[in-house]
Parts: sequence; C-alpha cells; structure tokens
Amino acid sequence: MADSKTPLPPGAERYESFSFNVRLLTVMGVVGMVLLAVLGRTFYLQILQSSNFEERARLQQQRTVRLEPRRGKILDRNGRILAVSVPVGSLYTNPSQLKQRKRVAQRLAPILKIRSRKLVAHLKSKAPFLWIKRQLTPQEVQQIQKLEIDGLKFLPEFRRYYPAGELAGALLGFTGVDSQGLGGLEYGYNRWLHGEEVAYVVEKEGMFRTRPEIREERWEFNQHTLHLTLDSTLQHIAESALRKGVERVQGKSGVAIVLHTPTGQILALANHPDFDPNRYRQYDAAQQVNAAVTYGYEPGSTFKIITVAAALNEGIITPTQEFFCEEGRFQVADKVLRDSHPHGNLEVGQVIQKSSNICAAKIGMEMKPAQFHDYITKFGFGAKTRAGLPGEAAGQVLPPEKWTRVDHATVTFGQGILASPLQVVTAINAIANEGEWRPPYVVEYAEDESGGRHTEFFDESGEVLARFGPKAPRRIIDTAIARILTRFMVSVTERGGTAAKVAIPGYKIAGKTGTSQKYDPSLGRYSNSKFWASFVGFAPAFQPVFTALVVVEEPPRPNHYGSKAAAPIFREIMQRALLLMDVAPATPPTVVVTRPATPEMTVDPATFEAIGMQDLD
Amino acid sequence: MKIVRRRPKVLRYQFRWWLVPQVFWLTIRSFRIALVVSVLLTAGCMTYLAQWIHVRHLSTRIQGLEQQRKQQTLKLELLEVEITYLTRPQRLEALAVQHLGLSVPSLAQHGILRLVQNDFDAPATTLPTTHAE
Repeated sequence: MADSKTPLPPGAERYESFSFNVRLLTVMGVVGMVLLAVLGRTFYLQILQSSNFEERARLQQQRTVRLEPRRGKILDRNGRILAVSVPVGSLYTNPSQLKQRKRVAQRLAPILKIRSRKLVAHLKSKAPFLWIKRQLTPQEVQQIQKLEIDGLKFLPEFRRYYPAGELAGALLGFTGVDSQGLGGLEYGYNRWLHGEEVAYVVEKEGMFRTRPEIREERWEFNQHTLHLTLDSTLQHIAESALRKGVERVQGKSGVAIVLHTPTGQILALANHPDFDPNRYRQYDAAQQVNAAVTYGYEPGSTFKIITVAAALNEGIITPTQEFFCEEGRFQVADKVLRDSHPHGNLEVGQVIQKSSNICAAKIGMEMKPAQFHDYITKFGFGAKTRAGLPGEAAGQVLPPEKWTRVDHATVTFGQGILASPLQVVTAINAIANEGEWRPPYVVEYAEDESGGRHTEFFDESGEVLARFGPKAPRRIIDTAIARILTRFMVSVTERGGTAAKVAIPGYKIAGKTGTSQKYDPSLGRYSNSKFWASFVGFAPAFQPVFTALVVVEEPPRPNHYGSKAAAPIFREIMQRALLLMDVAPATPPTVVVTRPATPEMTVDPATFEAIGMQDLD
Repeated sequence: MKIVRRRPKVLRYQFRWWLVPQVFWLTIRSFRIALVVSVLLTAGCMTYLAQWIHVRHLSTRIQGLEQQRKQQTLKLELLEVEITYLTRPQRLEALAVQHLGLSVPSLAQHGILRLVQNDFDAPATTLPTTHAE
C-alpha cells in the first residue's frame, strides 16, 4: 500500500475519486432500485389491488350470519295485536370450541327437548358455525345460561307470535322458521310484512373460531304493520257461536262471516274447526285453509234472493205477482223439481218466505239465460271479490250458452253453481246497501316504521301492487227493488217464514235460509245425506249495520236445514253483535215493573236515634 | 484610559417595561412566516381535536341512550303483547263466567237500559271507526 507521504503517481487522485463516486453511485443505484421496486410493489398491492385483498382478508377474517328480519305486526280495528314478532335467542356454537361434546349434549338435551344421541351427532360437525336450536323460549335461554357451558352462544332472532291463539287463525295464517309467510294474510301480504334481512358480521380467529361479540345491532327492518278491519271481540263471538252451533248439530265444519254493511269491512271471519298458528305443525293442512274464501259451496235457497232481484229489476215480474208452485212437484225436461213442503199459489214475497224451489225456478226461467247470467255476475259470482284474502276462489258459474233447461231451473235456487261464502255474503250485502255492491275488504291500511299510512303500493313501472281500504261501489239493482227484497227477507224471520226462530225482539232481521245437497263425486250425483245448511241476513233490516252469513257443512238429518243448523248460530252472532256495538232496537221493549209486596215494618224510635235519624212519622 | 465604573441600579431602572411590546413584536417578526402558520395550525388542530373528542363522547352517549330507549321500547312492546294475551276475549269470557258468574245480557236488557237512560230515541250507534282514525 502506498505510504501517505509517498507522492501519488499522476492521475491517481482523480482515479480514486472517480472510483469512489462510481461505487457510491452503484450502491445508491442498487438501493434506489430496490426501494423503487418495494415502492412499486407496495403501490400495486395497496392501491391497484387493494379492493381484491380487502375482499380476501374479509373472507378470511369475517363471517356473515344472516338472520331473519322482524316482521310487521298485524292489528285489529281497535289496535289489538293479532300477530307480532318477539325477540328470542337462537343457540349456536363452534363445535371445535366445545369440550366434552357428549357431556354438553346430555345437559342440553332435556332443555331443548332433543334426543341426546341426535344432539351428539349434530355437534360432531366440523363447520365453524353451527346452529344448535333456533328461536328458543326465554325460559330455555335462561336454563341454558345457568349451565355456564363454554362455547355456547346466543344470537337474537325474532319469533312470530299470535297472542290471541286460535282467534282468526285461518285468516291470519302463519310463518315458517325463516319468517316467511306460509298461509293466510301472513302469506298474502308477506311482501309488506317481511322486513329486510339482518346480517351479523362475526370475526374469525386464526383457528377459524368465531367471535360474534363484534356485531351490528339493527332494529329497523323496513317492514309494515297491517291494520285490519277485523274486530277481535266480534271474531271471538262468531267463533264461539259457530263452534257451539256446529258441535250441537254434529256438522263437519262451518263458516261464519260478519260484514259491516255500509262499508263492506270484514268484521269477523270464523272457520270451524280453526287452528292455532302458534302450533301450526300440529294441524292438518286442510284445517289451516281459510274455508270462508277458499272453498266453494252451492248456496241453495239463499240464491233465490238473486233470482228474484234480477227478475224484479228487469221488470219481468211484479212484487205482488202470483206463481203456482205445482203442489211441490214440477217436471223440467227429464228432472223433477221438489219443494220441501207443497205449495199452491204464492206471491213473489211468499216464494222467498216459504222458500219454494219450484216457484223460484218459474221466476228465474222467465228470464233469458244470458239475462239472468248477467245479474249473477253483477252480484259478484264467478269472480273473486278481491277482498285482499289470499287463496280466494272465484267460484264457478257455467256460461249461459252451456245451460240446459235443467241448469237454468236449478241455478235459480242455488244448485249447479259454486260460490264462496264471502261471495254470497257480499251479494246479500248489496241488497242491504239498497242495491249497491260494495267490495269487501279486510286490510284498512299498511303503516310503515315512521308511522306513514299507505293504502296503495306501486311497482317501479307505476303498476298497482296492492290497494287497501274501501273500493268504489257499483249499483246493480234499483234502490226500490232492494227495499222490496228487504221486506221479503224480513218476512222470512217473521211468523210463517222458514226462520221465524231467528227473530230478535225489538229488531227487524232480514234473512234467508239455504239448504243445498252436496255433490258426491263417489256416487257421481247429488247426495241425499250430505247437505250445506246456511243462513244469510242483515240487521237491523232497515238501517243495517251487520250483514252475516253462516254455513254449516254436512249437518246430519233432521238438522240438515239451514233454519235448524245455521239460523240459530246467525241469531246468536247477530244478537251479541248488536249488543256489542250498542245498536238501538227499533221498538222499545215493553217494561212491566211490579213492586214486590213488602211487609209493614215498625221501627223502634231508639233505632232511629242510634243511626242519627229522626222518625218523621 | 479612564475606567468608568458602572453604577449599580435598581431593577426598575434597569428594565425598560415600555420596551416589552416592542421586543415581543420584534421577536414575532424575527420568526419565519411558516413557523407562525404552523403554530396557528397546531393551535387549530388542538382545538379541533378537543371538539372532536367532545363530539365523539357525546355521540357515544347518545348511542347509549338510543340503545336504552330501544330496549325500553322493546320491553314495552313485550308488555303490550302480554296484555293482549291476558285480555284475549276468549280468556276474559271464560274468567267472567267461571269466577264472576256473569253471562251475556239479553237484548231486552239492553233495550231496558236505554229506556232507563232515556236515550231510546238516540240514533243507532254506528260502528266505531278503525283504531288509528
């Protein structure tokens, strides 16, 4: 190495300086390039690929547990709760966190009412998130919490609850465990009752163990509350009267509908047998159906009102016109029509009062099939009433060109035509409303979370999805004709009518009995032992508040008549309805006050003094 | 060379109070603008931070209260459900019959009541409107 004192050869200093600079630059260049590469990679990862990696990280670290939303309430006209979603706990675990699974299963089994073996098999799952049982009762949650088992956790969910139990069960319907409406109004209005789904984000640890402590609590679900026209008390009255009445005559089933006459609001809709939507799994599917709107029946003599209304309105007959009822036997084509009791000449009003099939057929056959058919459809038969009840049947009315002479004759007294009970009561409600057919409805309006009321919902294109509340009525017969028919119907519940026992003192009741034979598919003809017994009417007759229909299926003889099976139920419902709504009677009752004879008493003056009074005598 | 001995003076004579604002102003002027700006910014940030902490505190408190309100609302709703369950018509009727021996009054009784109340001529009661109307 050259000594520092040794003079350097010429150019050496420059060389050393150059060499140092080159090395320095090289090192700096390399470091710079490495830094640049790192920066570039960082930019690529952090900026360009950030969303991708965020997603991957989220998938690795988080797990979304979807829970069912809170459904909207269903309330009656007085704000009483008919259906509500209540918060409950759902039990879950990560099986890998559980120690002694068999022991855990044995302790949980009696509380959850699940067999221990089944629970052990369930807990063997390798899934990081496992529901053990959902929607537990508060008592079950408390019992499990007392066990203090590590690894068992609860997530809040909502459970549909019907506090009134069986009340209006078939009308309300029910929901499944996933909060989806499966029947009745719950199904029909699921779109508005069902809120938005709730998603809880739970974090996962390195070992895929969930840590659900971090979650977002939500209470707003964008659901709607349905306000019904139903009256809980009247519904109970209708249900209890129907149950007692059907059991009394040993009928197979029954339906009762009560409408508010001026508006068409459905106040009560009872089915027997009914079911409890809280325990819907325990009932047959047939029992869960709302028979009042879903099933059709042959309305029988109640349909004579429609026949006479059509003929009177067309001016084909007059109210005082007489018809010969053939003494109970009348041949039409190859069929023989019969009356339950033989009659001679009857005025139109008496045809209704005595319920003569033969005279009704004669009246109906005065009209042309198309003319009569037109009135049948005007009264709402053969088409859905659009009352907002899911599963509604349109019924069946043969087109007039297919009518034979026998069809024409039998339709006049309600055979050979299928109608739902709701269609029949709505048609008679038109008579009560002086000839105006008012669409029935059960949902008054829907209320959103902020309290806003909605009577209509539209889709994006402006089409109406749902419309609640009253709809425009349509006139089908003249007011005068409707009043005449009302008088005829009142005579049915008076002396000499088929349902004189329906009369309620102080009130005028307009009504009509109906008894129709059931078609037996196994026999291929009408049965002689199976009947539909019905009674339809309204009260008070000349200022009606309620229109009601009662139908009893297959009441055995001798109670198979509408007057025996259905009319007493109608009377009970109507009597209590009038009382409940404080509807004043048309005529004041006669009151005889008798004063009981009281023995003459003598009171010792000392007694008066003792109680601080004076003996004025 | 004449040596001048400084005579000691009392502090009030040594310190010129009237020069303080001037000195302060000169000091300020001697700072760079950037420094002044940064000081002001720091002060602003400190104020903002203090406000932010305050707002956060308030927001947490509001959230807590909101949560409490929701819990209370939920409890009330559950109570309402319980009331509905306990006052369902079928239960009330059964209790009235079993424990009080009550029965459904007849319409004649109703008529007499109206007669006694002297409101027999009052118009027939229309159906009550729906709950929310």
